[in-house]
Amino acid sequence: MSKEQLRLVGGTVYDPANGIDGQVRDVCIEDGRIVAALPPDAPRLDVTGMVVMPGGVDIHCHVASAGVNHARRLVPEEHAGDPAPAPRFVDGSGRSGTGGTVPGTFTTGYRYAGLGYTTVFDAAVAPLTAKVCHASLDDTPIVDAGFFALMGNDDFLLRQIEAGEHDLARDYMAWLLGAAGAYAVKIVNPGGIERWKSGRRGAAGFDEPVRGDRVTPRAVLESLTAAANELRLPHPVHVHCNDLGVPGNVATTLDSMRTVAGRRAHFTHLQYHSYGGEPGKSWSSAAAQVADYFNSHPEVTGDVGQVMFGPAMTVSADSALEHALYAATGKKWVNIDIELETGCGIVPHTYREKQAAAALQWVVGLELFLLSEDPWRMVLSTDHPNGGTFAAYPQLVELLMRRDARDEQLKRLNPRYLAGSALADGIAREFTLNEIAIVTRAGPARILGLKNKGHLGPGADADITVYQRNENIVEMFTLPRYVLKAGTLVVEEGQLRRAPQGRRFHLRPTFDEAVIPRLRRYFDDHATVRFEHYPVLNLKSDSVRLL
Amino acid sequence: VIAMNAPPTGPVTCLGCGCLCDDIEPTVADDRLVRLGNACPLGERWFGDGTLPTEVLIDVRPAPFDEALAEAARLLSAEPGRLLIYVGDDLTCDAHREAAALADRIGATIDGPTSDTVADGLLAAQRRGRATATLGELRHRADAVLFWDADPATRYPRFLERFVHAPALFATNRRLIAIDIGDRRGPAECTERFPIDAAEEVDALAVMRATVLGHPVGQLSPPLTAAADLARRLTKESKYLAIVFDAEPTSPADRDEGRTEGLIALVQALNGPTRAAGFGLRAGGNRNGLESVLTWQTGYPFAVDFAPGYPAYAAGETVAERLERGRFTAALVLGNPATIPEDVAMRFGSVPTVAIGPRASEAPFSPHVTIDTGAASLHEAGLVLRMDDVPVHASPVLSHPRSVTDVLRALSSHLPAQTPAEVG
Repeated sequence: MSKEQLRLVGGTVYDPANGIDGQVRDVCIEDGRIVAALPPDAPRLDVTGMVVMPGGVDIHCHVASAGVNHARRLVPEEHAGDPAPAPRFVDGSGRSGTGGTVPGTFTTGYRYAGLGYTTVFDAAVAPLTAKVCHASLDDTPIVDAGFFALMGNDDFLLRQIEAGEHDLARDYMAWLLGAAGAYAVKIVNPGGIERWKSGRRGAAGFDEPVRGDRVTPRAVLESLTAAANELRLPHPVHVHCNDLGVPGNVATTLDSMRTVAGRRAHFTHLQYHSYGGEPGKSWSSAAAQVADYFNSHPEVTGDVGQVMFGPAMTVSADSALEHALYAATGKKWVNIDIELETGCGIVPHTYREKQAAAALQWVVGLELFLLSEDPWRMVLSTDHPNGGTFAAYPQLVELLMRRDARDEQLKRLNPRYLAGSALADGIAREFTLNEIAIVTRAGPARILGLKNKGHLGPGADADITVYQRNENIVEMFTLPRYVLKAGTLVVEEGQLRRAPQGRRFHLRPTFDEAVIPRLRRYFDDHATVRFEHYPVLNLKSDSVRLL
Repeated sequence: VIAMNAPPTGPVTCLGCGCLCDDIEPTVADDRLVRLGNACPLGERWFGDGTLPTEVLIDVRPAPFDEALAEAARLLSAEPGRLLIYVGDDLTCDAHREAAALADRIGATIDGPTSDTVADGLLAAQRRGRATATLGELRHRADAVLFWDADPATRYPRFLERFVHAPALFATNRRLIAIDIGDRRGPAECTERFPIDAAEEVDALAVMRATVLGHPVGQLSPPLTAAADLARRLTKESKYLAIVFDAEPTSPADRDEGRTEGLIALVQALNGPTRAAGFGLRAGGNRNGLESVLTWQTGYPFAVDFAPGYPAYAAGETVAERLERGRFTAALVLGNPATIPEDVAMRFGSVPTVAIGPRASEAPFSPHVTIDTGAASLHEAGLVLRMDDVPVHASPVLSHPRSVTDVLRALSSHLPAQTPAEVG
């Protein structure tokens, strides 16, 4: 293979992982990787005066699961309103598609890359349906991708917890990650989905048994977090806490964090889990309490799950929550109980400035960003498409960088639940470009344990986004001038030109094979798919395999 | 492709119906299937002896493969925007992905049996959503199974054995209830039966839903009163109710749009006072797979028209109707022609066609170009989806010289080159 070389010349580089904060320097690329230097006659791309960052890394979105595909199917009217003709690439290829809150897979890949994002993780995949996710990701071009396997309501696991079989639970976790071709463990509403499927309603107590005497949400969270830490997974448990969206849920959220204190754990879309008040009586921001906990516990990481005003699609394994949203709104509703594993609920939703709840959610998200002292550990997400779509990231960047932009929007919001809000009182902090680079690239890559992503040091993947400086931050972040993916120029002069196939991140942790005969017996007795047909086979050979 | 005569390495998957039983144990001798452990009569018919024709024809004359591809490419390039790619059964999702790519490239409409069999149900689910589950949830949780005008025995022979009678983890007792519409009967083993006149079917669904929601229902006929009482009792007596219906009823009289929408609405309402899931029985051949692939690529599960330069939804008209009114000037027919609904297949005589798939040479119409291939699961590995969208890996039992996926890739290379963008 010939050595493909390129030198980006004269850009102002923001590479926080390597301590580079707005320095003018060249970036050298060879064979898809960053290198320290190139010969003087290497091809050059003049980016003088432009802003150079690593490619964006989305730590938490929903783009390729079977559940997402059910959501996609639910809104033909959105697709009809957002047709996406095929981009014209230099090799003549290019696929058409449709957009809306849940774009088709090709359109998803193109639009992410068009925003300068080059790595994405689907945050919730039922292992039973992992094959669908891999096939969908095969049709999601440009971006490198992986997904998190849903655990925490799976029957086999709950049985091991009830029996006190911690080692078997850990070995099962390791087997399941490999079988599904997943990258990390996702815990959604531990025990709560099983509770909904078995016909019980209302909020589960954190210490209320879901099954038997020992299987409580706390025990499930504790068991999985311990197992993931013992396996030394690059990204330990990715936790969607119990009681999402419920007033007063900050107590559960903080209790969850204390339960796993001292171990690595990532708490996701914390905006939905940082509320004070009491159901039916009051509702308020508790972002300051969560930020305080974060500021004093360096082992904990999180992403925000910011709400952006406009259309969204709520799609979650937290199917009890989705039923509650359906009951409250009367909108379309999909529920799919997934055998022996998890659930799936879907309700289209629109966040409006004049809705008191949506206004509070918007405020809570921004407070989490602005009150958390360490941007490396509280990174950007909208939980696409739940809190808004990834297309809104540039608007979110502006809200973080410009106090006047958010104060202006704040004036238009329904103030009903904002009395105790720090944001309403005024927060002066404005993110710098370096901090934006942290919350959109360097931070997520570090939290995910991706050594070659999110930075521009030698050995890193040459995933690079080049922005034209612009007073209008939304414009600047909406239309990168250049985007490189593994050294390939996918965006040139603001136009999508190439769409290489991305790579897949997945793990095959080692484990004690003694769990296999038990699993086989369990499948023989209870599953509707044969044990030998359950694992994902034939993952592409160029996949990135870790561990 | 495994070597000839090699014994299969494990159980294989049957595409005879949407149950996608993946526990079929084949025995191979002399490149033929001689025994199929666990297969039902439908499965035995679907597998046959595993042999399929291997012809390549232009009109009815044998032709070299490359020549047939070139002729197919010529036909499919002639009039962009007025082409149909019809995807029949027995293909993997990998073949579906290639077919959709081809449709996008040549500006064709891509569709399959969905438009002529189950479109009403899919459109109703797009308007309302739906409450369902994978079939293992029916097996393990349902303490009551209500068969709504459905007896799976004939068209889904192992459905009851695998998902209703198999040992359950959570539901210790299970009531089997039949709602018998007109002169049709649910499974014989149902211990409770409720006959309803066909003319009152949609009314019965509405009355049951209203009862579940606590709305007044007024004076009712005796059968509707019984239906309302049943709904009232089930909300109290059942913790997880499964409603099983045939999503692809054979009788046109059953295709009242209100029926599926009424079923969906009833199941959704039941999730207020209790838990419930609806299960629509689907035919085999990976029809669910085609709908999934089209959805993730285009946003629409069927009737996708690429003629505008992007995917547009052409739902609302069956393929037979579109063929009848001359919408298409040529068609690429993929999959096993024997599985194409009859009123579609008979209209393929009115346009020039290219047929590629298992038993293409036995098509009941006269393709201009014919290329026989192997079938999913029998000869081609890949992804197939059960009627509840659970993916199953299909691993091949025998070999065949060609797969649909490979033929489509080869066909693509015979099409005129795509125009590259100019880069300044």
